[in-house]
Amino acid sequence: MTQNRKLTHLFDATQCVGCSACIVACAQTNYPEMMESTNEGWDWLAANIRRVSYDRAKRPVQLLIQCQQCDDAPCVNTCPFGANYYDKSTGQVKTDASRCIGCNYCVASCPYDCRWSHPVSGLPMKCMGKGCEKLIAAGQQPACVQACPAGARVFGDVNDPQSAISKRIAQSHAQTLLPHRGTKPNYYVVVTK
Amino acid sequence: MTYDFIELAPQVAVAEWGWTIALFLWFIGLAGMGLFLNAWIRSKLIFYVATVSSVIGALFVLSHLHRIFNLPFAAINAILDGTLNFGSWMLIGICLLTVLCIVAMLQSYMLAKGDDRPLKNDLVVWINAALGLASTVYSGFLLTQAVGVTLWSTAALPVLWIFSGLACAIGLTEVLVAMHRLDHDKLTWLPKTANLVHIGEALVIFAFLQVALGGNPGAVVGAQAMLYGPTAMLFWGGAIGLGIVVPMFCGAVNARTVKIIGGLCAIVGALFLRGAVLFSGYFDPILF
Repeated sequence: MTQNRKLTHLFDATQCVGCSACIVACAQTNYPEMMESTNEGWDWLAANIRRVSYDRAKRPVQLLIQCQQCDDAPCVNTCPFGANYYDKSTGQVKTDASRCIGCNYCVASCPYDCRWSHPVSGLPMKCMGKGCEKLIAAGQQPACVQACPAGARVFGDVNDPQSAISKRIAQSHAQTLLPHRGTKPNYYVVVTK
Repeated sequence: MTYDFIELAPQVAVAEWGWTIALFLWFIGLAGMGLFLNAWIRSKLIFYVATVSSVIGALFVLSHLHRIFNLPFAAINAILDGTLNFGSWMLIGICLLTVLCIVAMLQSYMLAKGDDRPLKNDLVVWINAALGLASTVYSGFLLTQAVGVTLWSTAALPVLWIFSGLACAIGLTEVLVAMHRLDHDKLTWLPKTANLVHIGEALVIFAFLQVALGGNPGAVVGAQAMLYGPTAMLFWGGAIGLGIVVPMFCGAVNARTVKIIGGLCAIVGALFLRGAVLFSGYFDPILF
């Protein structure tokens, strides 16, 4: 473990079989109270993973995206009371409910549309949820990584060159999304072999 | 290029910045630019309308908060933790709106008690005008900082809100003049000013759309939605038709009822413009 950890995800679209197990696992682990309802904003399961598919493009594309754990996160920059902040112990963007007023400014500020408003608490949700935070604290992998049957997901510390995610990034054509937006994203995707 | 092969997510579905926010922006525009215009008109009635408008606008934005009851605790926690973010237009706006509402209500109370200093003292009048202008400008920058919606990421938006808010305030003044609640002879400059403001607003709308059509896919789709898509009726019928064309036409007709209709249309048009801009907000596609 390095001194400044940067815990993040890699999603390999070339390995993904589109089974949605990661999405269901995310919902079950982080929002069990919403298993009978939906995230109406995305018209989707109450999960932090959003499927993006361009079926009408020349070459059909499908990606599963979630919080990019940006180093220059717009959601942190716009939050009036500092409810969104950088967690120094994990390098992730987190939300402190005690300082959130539910204005949804962070939701509108995310260039990746990776946040959604919880219909009961009013809090802006995103990866990673409280359930997965408990798993990480217990030394386990996040729910989506555990559920993936195809090895399409890797989670770990990108600042540790020996971590599984660092090795996967080094071995594949990994890239970040919308880098031109200047948010310095840390969610890696592999779309070509 | 159109991006019709991509189904972009509208911000209103996720962030839920819909009519509540449109009404907030509209009331703050009317209040802010009403106070600004009143630096020249110095009407007690306009001051009262601006006061009521600022309070209603603030109530609308408060009603939009999903965790409104946490607002005082969030503020206290942020102060104690030193995490107040003065780089956030939301926080700047909270401060500005608080000052605007308190100042406007206190001065309205003074006016109601027969103290005319809010209208006679030049320093107070111009401070009010500056506060009104700042509040209107803030309501524009509030949207520009929400960078997920690229249609709004332009400095044309605060300028548009100034022109539109001013058109709204002039519409109110025209209604009051037509209803003989303001002295017409002291406001001979009003018709020409109204036309100039409407023409200015039209030019800024053109610039806004021009920038959007040359921008990111989300901005392009947003501009297309306004021009010939789902929000075209709001834009052409409400913002352009009712907000600009009808008031300019009515301004040329010398009839009391027509003047009232023109003024009311200018006021309502500003609401439709805000609605059109909000409902045309889309997130950028992840791949393009």
